[in-house]
Amino acid sequence: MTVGLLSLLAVLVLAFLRVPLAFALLSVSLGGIGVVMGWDVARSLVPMTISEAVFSYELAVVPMFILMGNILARTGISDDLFRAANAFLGPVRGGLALSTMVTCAGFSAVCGSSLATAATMSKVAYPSMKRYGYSDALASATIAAGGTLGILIPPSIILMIYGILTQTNIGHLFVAGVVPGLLGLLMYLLVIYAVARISPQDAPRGERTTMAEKLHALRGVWPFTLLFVLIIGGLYGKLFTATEAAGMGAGLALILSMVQGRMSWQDFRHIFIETATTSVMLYSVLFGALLFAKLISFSGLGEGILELFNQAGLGPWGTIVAILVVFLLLGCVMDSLAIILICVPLFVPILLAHGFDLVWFGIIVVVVTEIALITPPIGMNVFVLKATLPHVRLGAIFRGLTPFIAIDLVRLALLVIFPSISLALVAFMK
Amino acid sequence: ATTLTMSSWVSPTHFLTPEVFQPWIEDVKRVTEGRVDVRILPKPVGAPAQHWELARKGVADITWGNFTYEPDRFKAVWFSEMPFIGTKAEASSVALWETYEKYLAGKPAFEGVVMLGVGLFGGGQIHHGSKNIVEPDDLKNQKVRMGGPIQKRLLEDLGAVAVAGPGPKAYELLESGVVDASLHTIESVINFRVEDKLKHHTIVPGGFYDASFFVVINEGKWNKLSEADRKAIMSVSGEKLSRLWGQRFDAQNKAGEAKLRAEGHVFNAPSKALFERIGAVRERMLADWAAEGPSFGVDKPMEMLEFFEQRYKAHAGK
Amino acid sequence: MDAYLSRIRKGVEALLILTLAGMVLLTFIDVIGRRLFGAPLYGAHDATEHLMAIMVFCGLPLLTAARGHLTVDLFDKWLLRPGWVWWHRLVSALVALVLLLIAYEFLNSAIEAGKIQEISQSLSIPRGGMYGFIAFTSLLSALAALLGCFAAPPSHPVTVQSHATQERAK
Ligand code: NA
Ligand code: NA
Repeated sequence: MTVGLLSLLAVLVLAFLRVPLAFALLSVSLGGIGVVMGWDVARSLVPMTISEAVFSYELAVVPMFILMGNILARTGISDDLFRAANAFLGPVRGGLALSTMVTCAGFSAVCGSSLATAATMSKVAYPSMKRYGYSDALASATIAAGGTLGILIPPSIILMIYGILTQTNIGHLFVAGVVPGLLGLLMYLLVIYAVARISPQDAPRGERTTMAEKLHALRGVWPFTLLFVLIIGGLYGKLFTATEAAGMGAGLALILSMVQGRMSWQDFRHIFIETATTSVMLYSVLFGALLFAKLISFSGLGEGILELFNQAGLGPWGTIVAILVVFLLLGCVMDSLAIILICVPLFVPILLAHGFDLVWFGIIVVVVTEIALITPPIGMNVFVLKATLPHVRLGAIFRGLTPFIAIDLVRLALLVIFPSISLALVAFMK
Repeated sequence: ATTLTMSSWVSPTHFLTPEVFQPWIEDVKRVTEGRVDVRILPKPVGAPAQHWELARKGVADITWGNFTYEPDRFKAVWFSEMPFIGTKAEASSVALWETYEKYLAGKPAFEGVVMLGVGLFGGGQIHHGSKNIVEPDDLKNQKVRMGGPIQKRLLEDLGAVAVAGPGPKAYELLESGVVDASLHTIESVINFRVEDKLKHHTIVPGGFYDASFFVVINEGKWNKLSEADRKAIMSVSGEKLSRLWGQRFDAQNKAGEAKLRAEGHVFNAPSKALFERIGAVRERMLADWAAEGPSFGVDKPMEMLEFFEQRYKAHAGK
Repeated sequence: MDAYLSRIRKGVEALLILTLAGMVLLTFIDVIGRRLFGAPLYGAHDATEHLMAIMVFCGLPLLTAARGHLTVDLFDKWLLRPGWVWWHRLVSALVALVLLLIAYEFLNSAIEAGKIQEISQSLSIPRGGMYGFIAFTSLLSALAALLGCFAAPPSHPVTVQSHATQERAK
């Protein structure tokens, strides 16, 4: 228990001191396991843990989903989506922001990463909003918040990694994310509508479009629709497994962009190498996280914390609240992937001991880390925006985000109190 | 007091934990008068196929697993996974323990650990989602989940498409249509929760195949225990643990069959032609296996098989 | 030397593209074969796992050389000041050390895999070769990290952060 606690601390300190997360996790785990179990055990666990992860078919899903998102981002399918949403929502007050939000949700439905969604949308939607006189605060906050829908609406890299760490069915996790994701979208739309009502100068009206223009814009949406139907339909209709959905999605995106002549050889090369590089980065961190999970298991830290919670008189619900507070606090200073990798192995035995549903908890974890992505002082989505839009002030983005964060907390409470929001669809699927 | 760690790759609710491992752990505690305890780790420390290595290298002190999860390494025990090896798990598990003791203990493949018990699961059978498998051609072009070299060869000989996948993945594979059928014990149809997906069961007399399991402890750790404790632990392990293993599988299989019959599932017996076909594959596989005897260090593999079968008959009371 | 390195890089990149494309192609063939023709590809999962292992460990030296590993850049404002150069060299040394250990342990596993006849589940591909490959590329990565000890440390905060952020955004 002491070794486990010290190791957790050491990982955090090293990570903040700029030791690459993978190596912070690997070196601390090696040391910790060495102390608890002996040096020989620590050493022999290194190749065993790495081959366990690398020869795992479930994990092959990760590069293929990243590939699909990269193809869509690079070949401009997302621009078409925005144009279509805008043809319909543009004329409403705050319409551009509304269509940005819808596009974020739509794009995230085929893209696994919220950072990728935010980065893509800042290129697609921000210039238009500026052109029509939107305030920096609303324009950038809309994109930053919209990006967080990406890790809930399936497919989602975070949900996949959660599924792998906890051995939960990834297909069920994806289906469980649908309603909470749509709920998030709806609430965000309400926020934009309210902001546009209260301070109209932040969100001017767009141009009217004719029916012909609307229909024309709609034509650009079919590749995206096809992909969405393939993936969600395939998963829900049990045509293939989550891993296979990734391969099918990536393959179809590749074919579509080639048929439409959207992809040059240069693009192709760039997309593939970028995907591979990102995957290698994710894998390295996963190796570390899996070894760290073993250290936690050996050191008895999970059981220790559970006992601590029990002694403190926290019942099951008190435990959940305590865990969520830990996630939210860590979310202020760390990105969501790191939090999940470090904390989920620690808390899952506790949740199991209390009999909580791991699919439900996965959704909760994602919503919490989503909130973490947009809360000050550290919000990765905000930083991505800042990197792509250097002239926008950080303060303005965070100010614009305040109502979005508020409504997110409401959604979190709803999801915690009513597990069926997440689980009803899964139950129906079974 | 010494606390040994145990890595187990089924969930704590799977019957093996409360019905086999926990009672055995209680026995160990009792006979060592509390000097030795076993703690099951909250999570397995490796993939199922790595569990032999985990014990050999001392990552966990005690592990259990399926010999043929590492297909070539334990070729010596392949005979016990052949068709018709016997559906009484208690008898076959004890017979396997006796065979291990007499023919296999001390062979290089089994070095680095001490065998605490072995087990078979009382005959794997063919379970299909929608079709009755009775004739040799019924399995033609059917996609069947399976998990071992012997099962693969059996299925391919019957014209089926073998799809490799671990048992706990059967639900997902069936649900997404990756496979039409799956090979399991009856007990697993229920314990892996695929009873809604598999409604047609073909019960091959003597079993379509079997799966051989080990429970092992790291040798170094074992030698660190006092001789009295080792002796005490062995008095509740070995044949006794193997028998407990088999008994629980027998009980689970029996209860499972009753449950599935009550739910209106279809139970079939193979036709004479199918049965003979399986028998012919068995003979060929055994001949190939026996020819490789020198490579896995058994001089007279067929004699070992005969010994096993004779012990099985003795225990099964035939 | 540089021309040589760039040729190696090109070769590795080609391998990355091939393995990733191979994974997508395998899945496509397997699913379509199964759904439309009732004939899945035997061992598709096993083959995918191997392709992935090759991809990950091919990319590891490239990523390490490019300092692309996921890093928490919260305190870059302070940590990237010149006074911290010694620390970044130390970190590179730690990374190199861990990678060296991985290489060494996989070398041991490769030797052992032959002895215990370790093979993959459905295609019976010997693991020894894969372990040897992993040991080799981990060693390359260790060397790449070691070069980082002597190369210029991560420099200007703004460029580093935006680079890291872009890496992740992609
Ligand atoms: Na998504
Ligand atoms: Na935050």
